[in-house]
Amino acid sequence: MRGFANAKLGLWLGLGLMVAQSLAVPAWAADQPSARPALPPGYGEVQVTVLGVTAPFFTFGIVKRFEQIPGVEHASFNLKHGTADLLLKPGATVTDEDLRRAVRNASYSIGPIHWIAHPSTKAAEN
Amino acid sequence: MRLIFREFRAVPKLFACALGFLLALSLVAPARAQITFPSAAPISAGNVIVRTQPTVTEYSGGLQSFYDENVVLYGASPDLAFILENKSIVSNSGNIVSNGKAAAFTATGFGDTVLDTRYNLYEVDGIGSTFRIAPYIGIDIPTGMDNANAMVPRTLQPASGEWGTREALTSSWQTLFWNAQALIGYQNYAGSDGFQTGSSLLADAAFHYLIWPSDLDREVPAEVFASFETNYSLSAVDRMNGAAISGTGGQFWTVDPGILYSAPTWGAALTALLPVLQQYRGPGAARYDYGFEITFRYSFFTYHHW
Repeated sequence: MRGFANAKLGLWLGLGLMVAQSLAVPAWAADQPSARPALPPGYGEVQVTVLGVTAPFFTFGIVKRFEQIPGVEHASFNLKHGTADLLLKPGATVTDEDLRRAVRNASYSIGPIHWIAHPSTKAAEN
Repeated sequence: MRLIFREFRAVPKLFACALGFLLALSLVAPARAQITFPSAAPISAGNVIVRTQPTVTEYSGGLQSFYDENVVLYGASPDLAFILENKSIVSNSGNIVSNGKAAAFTATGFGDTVLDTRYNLYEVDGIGSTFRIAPYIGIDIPTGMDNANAMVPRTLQPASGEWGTREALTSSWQTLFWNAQALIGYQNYAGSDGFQTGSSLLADAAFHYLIWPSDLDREVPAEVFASFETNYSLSAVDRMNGAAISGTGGQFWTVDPGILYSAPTWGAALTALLPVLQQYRGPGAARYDYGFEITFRYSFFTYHHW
């Protein structure tokens, strides 16, 4: 019975946390708007939708996979939209197939690939 | 390890040893379901996750158990993962009072190792969600000390000394704000030196609810979850030379509320282990009162995978 009483206490504690979360956003949880820096000359950018990523712990794997692709300078992930933003070095020859392989190796599924700027084109323009 | 008698100095050593052995025999550590069971959560190929879980559990009758379980997960391919679980140190100690006098014992040493292989069988991915089913099989390897203290019964030794197998089906449904995991499995042991741990049916479930941050529309550095896990096991009795050991086997069910901090490369969790149901077969079991588990997790990446 003592164990059951302890379990009930744990249940109420969990329920209380959920209710508190739904009522108010604490001051320490206030988010800062994300700044989007301008693309440096010659660099490229691609946005990849990755399906199945649910937490920062899991973004680690997908970001590392993207950063393994030669020519990728930096990768970041937006959990809410399920999108990875990749900054590509000037002259990088990253293909859709490279991106698909990276996503599968990270154990996720790939969605649409949106090329914002091809690095090779940028490099030629500059 | 040594059997320590604190208050029996006036009693002849041989008699004291015999009495201590009998007292120790009357204490049987019950089987306990595993907390933080292997889930079907994604592991990237080449990703290595190292986890250490020191756990303290307290039993009525003066029995206390401490162990530190180390877990290494390795993504061998997008669908195949290896999980190595080793109890690097196990310490069972008791302090029994009889007729106003206390007899204490400790059994400390290396624990056993389990090697699991998990395969991602079914997967449905969406934006910010994934549902997966993954069966796994495991081998119990007797790497531990099953005779750390010769005066302590086998069920209180740091390790069982047996080979064994574990087969389970685990599933995981994860979203941005909560995730649920479940496992059903079967575990059995081959026996060693006349001793055989009873086979077990395992049923585990866990629910994690995001409590911070509220806005995920940015690069999120870390998250805090409220966690609630439940572990159930139905076990056959342990046997010594074919004879059932009283106070072993039966049903054991805990609920485990906790809090979890999770960042991309590291995490920590604090979990309480609270019993709901304890039904052992025969008298003599030390009843489980409560336990605490701290988990530290570190994740890194290798370029080696299939």
